[in-house]
Amino acid sequence: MIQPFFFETFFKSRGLNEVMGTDSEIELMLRFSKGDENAFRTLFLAYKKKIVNYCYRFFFNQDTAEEVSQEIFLKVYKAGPRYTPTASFSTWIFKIATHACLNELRRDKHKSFIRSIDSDEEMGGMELADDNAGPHARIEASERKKRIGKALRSLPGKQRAAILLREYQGFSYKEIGDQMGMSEAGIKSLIHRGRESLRNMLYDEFGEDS
Amino acid sequence: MKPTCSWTELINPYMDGELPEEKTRLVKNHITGCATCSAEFESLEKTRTFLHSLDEVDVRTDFDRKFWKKVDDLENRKIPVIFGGWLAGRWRHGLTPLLATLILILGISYVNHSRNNSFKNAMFMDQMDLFADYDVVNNLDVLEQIDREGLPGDLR
Repeated sequence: MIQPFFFETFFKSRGLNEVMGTDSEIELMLRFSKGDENAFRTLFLAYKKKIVNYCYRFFFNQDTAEEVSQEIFLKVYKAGPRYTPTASFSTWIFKIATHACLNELRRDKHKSFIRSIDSDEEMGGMELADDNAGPHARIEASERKKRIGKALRSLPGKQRAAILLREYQGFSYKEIGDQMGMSEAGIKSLIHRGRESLRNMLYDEFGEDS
Repeated sequence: MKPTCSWTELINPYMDGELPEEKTRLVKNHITGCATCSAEFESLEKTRTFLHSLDEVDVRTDFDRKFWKKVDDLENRKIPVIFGGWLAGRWRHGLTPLLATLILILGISYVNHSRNNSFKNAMFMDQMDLFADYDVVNNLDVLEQIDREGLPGDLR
């Protein structure tokens, strides 16, 4: 309990707020570490949808996504008393999320991903942004959604994680490297290969229609 | 054979804004003049557009309830644990002073109990002395008579 207080005063006394930016989320987490559960609730509500969607794009299965998301938040909750800010809160929570998703993947529960991709029920809820068009366009959009999901899920775990963290969360190569325990050069390589694979599966297939 | 260009490896970091300012400018200028890199850039941009065409899912309504139940289960598992981590539970702030108070109360009670016993012993002894004096005072007339006349004949 002393440790978070120490870091908070350490950074403030040395004018090092800029180290963490003006990360009010770190402040909330530090308050939670001192016993303020409302601070945790605020963070939970702020990140709930982001984490669930990150996990959904990882597995394209809403049951799995929500189950893994709850485990992620539980880890954050348990880490509260020992929390020490070493990066922005979003970098930290997505590091936990990435590890959780990669571990879940390794548990080998998703060999039926092809079936789950084809299932309309599994893919329900994730609509394409231009889904307000007519019936024909909606069918096309639904098919495109399935293909994008299939393409993403065809990527190896680390490539998938790097692409999702970059494309949907906007993290820098350095931040992704911190989250995945890799160098910036390694992340650059993962993103390069990941995008190439996705392009081969998506762009070549859709061609000029896209 | 697909044409290649040594600059293509810079296109991804260029798209992600990971290049220094000067290099960004150089890559941008190169792309406009190189057919290979221009095609590469266009196809990667299109791929990104496909990815970003996916909207978000809604979180199910029972997500919060399920999560907080897991938290409650976690906290309930922690309470019986006396050593090794119980202070990390969310009850720590209420439990610590409560236990301290309990220990204090027990300590005071023990001290009081011990003191009371000594006092009671002392009281008993005092009372015994008092009883002795009481007997003397109660029987003073007889004692004074004995002093004057001696013991009665059959008791001499």
